Amino acid sequence: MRLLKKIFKYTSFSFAIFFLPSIKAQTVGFRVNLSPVGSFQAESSQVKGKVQKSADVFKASDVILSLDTLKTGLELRDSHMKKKYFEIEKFPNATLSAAEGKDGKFKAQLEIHGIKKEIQGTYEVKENLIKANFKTKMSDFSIPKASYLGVGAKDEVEVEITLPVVEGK
Amino acid sequence: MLKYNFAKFSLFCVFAVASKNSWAYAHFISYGYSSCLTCHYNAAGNGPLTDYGRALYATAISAKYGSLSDEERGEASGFLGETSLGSHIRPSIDFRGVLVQSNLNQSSSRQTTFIPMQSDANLVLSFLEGKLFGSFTAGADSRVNAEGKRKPSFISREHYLAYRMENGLSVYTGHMDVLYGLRIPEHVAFSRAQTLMAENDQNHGAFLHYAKEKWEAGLHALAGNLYEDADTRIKGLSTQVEFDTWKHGRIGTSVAYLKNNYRSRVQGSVHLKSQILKEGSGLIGELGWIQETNAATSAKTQSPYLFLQPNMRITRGLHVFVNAEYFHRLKSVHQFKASPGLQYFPMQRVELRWDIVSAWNSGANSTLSLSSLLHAHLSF
Repeated sequence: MRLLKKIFKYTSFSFAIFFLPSIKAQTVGFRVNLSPVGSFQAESSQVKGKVQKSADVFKASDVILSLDTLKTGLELRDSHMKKKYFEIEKFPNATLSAAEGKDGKFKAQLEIHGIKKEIQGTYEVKENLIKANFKTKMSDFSIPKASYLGVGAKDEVEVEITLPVVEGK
Repeated sequence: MLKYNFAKFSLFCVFAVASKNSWAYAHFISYGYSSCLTCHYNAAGNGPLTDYGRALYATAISAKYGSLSDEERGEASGFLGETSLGSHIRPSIDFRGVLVQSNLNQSSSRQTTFIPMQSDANLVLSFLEGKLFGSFTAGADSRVNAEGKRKPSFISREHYLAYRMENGLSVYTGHMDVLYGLRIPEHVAFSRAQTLMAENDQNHGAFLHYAKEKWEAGLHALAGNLYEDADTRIKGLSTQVEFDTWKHGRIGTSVAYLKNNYRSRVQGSVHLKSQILKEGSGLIGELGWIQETNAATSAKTQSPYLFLQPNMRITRGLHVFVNAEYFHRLKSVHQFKASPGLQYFPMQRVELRWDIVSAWNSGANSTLSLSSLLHAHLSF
């Protein structure tokens, strides 16, 4: 029984270290689903900006992500994503502006690839961090349909942003 | 009968225990590929690589070699390098040999043997923009026959036709590996050998597979390996479900009912594939249970088993791993194996691997056996 307890203790500890996603402030991640199947995630912890809380309303403007800081875990995939699809030499940043949320839902303007579109999503607040999720389409931003050797990226991507919350006036 | 003897070639293949081109290494999921289908034609993994799978091997799995960029390596990853074969034909050749030094801890019985484990040639034909395809593999088969002798021959190891629909549903029919558990290259692992999912356990049947972004499921109806005698053919049904859990993590479960004239069995397992710590490093594990019934006596045996493999990337192309295995036929001895190893992909098409296998059991006559396995795998 003691052995089982020890095994459980160390197994739980290992799982906590290896698997549980750490919550970091200032992160952006998005999941790209692939065709025929599969997915990958791109992430950056270099997003600049914060969310102001005023009563029960959350507002943010000029949340800026340098697209060159995104990483997917594969160098060639990073290179394709940034150069061929985001065209970061011409459009280095993604910007979220005029974001306003209440009761777990928000609207904002997302500018990427030189095109600005309204997006809508959900959010949740934990302590001093806000985690917002939304879906958008690459085609809405004139990003070319991505594919490589028979595997294509689906148009819709799922985005998650984590930002610190500060009390506003 | 698609079975041809090649007596002269038999000397070369006399020890062959040919394994299929399996790629369920722990670290692959850590690149974001939880589904086998991205890199393999067969949705259950194993077998020939797609163009994307070949390029991934060249640009992410293998070390950086020569002066080529990853972009150029990806473009040159085809069967004939950069030369295009069009969209309908994809040949491939696989050879895997292993130099085994057994009984390292018993100098009187130490032996060194070279085993050509895999000698396969494959052709994939695809049409309708890849939706309709067939895979055909000829390979060396040197299973021990009823007289206890190896009779090397070539067999059609795999031949199936498949149709993949836009909605994620695929149908495969023909002779192929059985859907069950983790399809790992260690074909003598308890999780493969004891579950009847080893290198020569392909089966005729129909396989239905459905894949969505975050989960997939398959059902494999088994009509038996028609190259075997009718009474020994294993028929039945196997099913598997997998779903994403955390980032770069996936959990799955398999259940199979298998039966021939002499025995039947129900076996089930849960398995895990996950990134650990960083890109390129991962953990795979399978925990299962087998209940087998002897058809003549109705006697039942129960056997739990476990396979665990953490695999850490040292640098691109170089990995260190440990295989930990357990098998226990209830009321019999507990069997253990622990196999630390190094794995090196110096370039696309070449894999070198060195395992030190220690095996022991809990019985009164327990002995520790140590073996060194030096693998070379060439794939074109």
